[in-house]
Amino acid sequence: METLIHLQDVTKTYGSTVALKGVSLDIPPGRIVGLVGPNGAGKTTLLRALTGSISYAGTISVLGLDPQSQRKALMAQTGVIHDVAVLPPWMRVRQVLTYMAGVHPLFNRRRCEDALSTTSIQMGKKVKQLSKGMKTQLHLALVLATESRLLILDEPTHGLDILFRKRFYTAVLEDYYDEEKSILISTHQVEEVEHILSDVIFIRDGEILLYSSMDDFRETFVQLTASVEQADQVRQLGPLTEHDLFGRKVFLLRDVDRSALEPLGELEAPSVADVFVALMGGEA
Amino acid sequence: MRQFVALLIREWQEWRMVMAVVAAIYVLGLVVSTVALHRGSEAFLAGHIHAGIHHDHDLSDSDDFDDDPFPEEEDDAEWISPKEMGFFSLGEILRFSGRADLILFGWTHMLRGGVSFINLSLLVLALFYLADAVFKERADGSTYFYRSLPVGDGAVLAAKLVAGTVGFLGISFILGVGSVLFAQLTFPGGLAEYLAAEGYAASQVAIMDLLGDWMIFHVLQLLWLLPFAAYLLFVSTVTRSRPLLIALVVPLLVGILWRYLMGNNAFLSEITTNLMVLGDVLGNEWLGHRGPGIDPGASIELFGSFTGYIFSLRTVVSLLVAGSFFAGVFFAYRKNLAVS
Repeated sequence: METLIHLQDVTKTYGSTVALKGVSLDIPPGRIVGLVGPNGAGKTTLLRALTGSISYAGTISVLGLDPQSQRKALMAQTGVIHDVAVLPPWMRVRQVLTYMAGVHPLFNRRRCEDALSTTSIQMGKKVKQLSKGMKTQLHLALVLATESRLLILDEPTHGLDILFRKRFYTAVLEDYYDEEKSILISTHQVEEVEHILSDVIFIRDGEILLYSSMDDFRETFVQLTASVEQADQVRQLGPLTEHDLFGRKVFLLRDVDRSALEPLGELEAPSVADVFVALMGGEA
Repeated sequence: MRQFVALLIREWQEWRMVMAVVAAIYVLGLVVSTVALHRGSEAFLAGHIHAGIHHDHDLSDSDDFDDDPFPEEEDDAEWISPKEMGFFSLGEILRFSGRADLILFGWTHMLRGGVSFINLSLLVLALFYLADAVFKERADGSTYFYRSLPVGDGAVLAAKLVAGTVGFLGISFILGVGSVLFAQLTFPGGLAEYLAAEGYAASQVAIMDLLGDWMIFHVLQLLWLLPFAAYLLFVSTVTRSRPLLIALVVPLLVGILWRYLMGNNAFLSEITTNLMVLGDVLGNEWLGHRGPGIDPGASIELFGSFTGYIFSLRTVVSLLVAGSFFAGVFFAYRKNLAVS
């Protein structure tokens, strides 16, 4: 199978801090992958390594290209939103578009202007005069107008209100995604994106804890709500977590035969957030 | 090429207001001083100011130059040597043998001072620009944006170096040429005729040669300033804070250390020599020379040959040092080092 992103033993250190610890990963094309981890887990470092923005040790291939030695060719096919604050604050919106048109061979200025015309962003405004939400809208409009094969989003909606966050992901799905394209989203607000993900990656302390398709994820993890009397029976199956809910016990289990669980209570698919918290060592 | 132009436009957009203000101040000063000199010249020609110099020709149909309000000065009249012409102190100005010298002094020094001012002003601006060029984008995080686009790091950095050198010097050249042409246009015809008859070199300058020399001078300045420009860009790429301060303090400290260890000022002298191209090369050159050494019928070579300056060991060393710093900039830029 063709590989969209390939990482082999990738390590990144900042002084004595190891941000990525020998990460190895293969992501096929045509997927929407959620990269989920707590603050300081290494999400941003991983994405910056994928885009050649930082140096690293190990091997990375994105769209068949080496991000460090072939960054220019890679960026012609990849749209990146690192963070809402990276657009040059001194530039006017019009100047940003002109700059993009000058340096990006696939940038479709008309498409970008059309997208911006549905917002309240004015062409003559400086980036620093825009609200956080507007900056994100602008950046998204720029990226979506480049016809890229891969979209990398690093906490794109961080600090924005829920209405805007919903609109953002709707726009990404409607205006960008098709089966020829791929999206890699880093976030710690996983509950907002899990419905659009086809794959999920959990990362902590620079290590990949889990990489799974959402189909496998739903097969692997199950949430069981059982009575107090049946709790001991469930505990023998080695649940990841256990907590009380309205006088009953809720368990999260991994790789357990569902036919054995059905007599013990009600089965449900757990949320990605619940599994994430469980694997991170907390309680759901 | 299209990308490179877009990169240069980006640099221009960021600094154009500063450029515009400097140029506007300069042009205003040029116009004001020209108007003042023009009026003074007209008054001189009209005989309101006595020439006070030896002349034996008849300018137009006026005999007013003989009407000296300061007759006692005429006895002490002396020729000013050509080499001294550019370095009059206030006391020397007051000892001018004649008002023609004063008028000519005004014209030549308006030009010389003007182009020197704009050249030095733009060099100082370039100092700020280059020290800030990479640091600023590292500080506001926009390096991540720029590097998320299909542009090579080499092109981005080369655009900054070109803008900080060719760009600033180009504007200096254009304003300098504008100044010369403006002075040519506004120089009173009668005064030119008078000065020619008096053996002043101003009337013998070939304007196209002058502009050509002025352009070559800027090329020389570019070559010799390249190491310092690349050094500033390097500091801008690696320092965690205050790039300009660090860029200036480090060579100073190295120079002091050099003096302590080697017992001479060679390190700082080399830097200042490169920085003071203007003073070194223009030193005692510009319009307005006169004296026994000048053949009234010959055109004047203002600057001499630049090939000796350009094709020199200093130029080779400059290019090597600049290349080394630029390589350092290239590798450090890719790391996008954090700022404090």
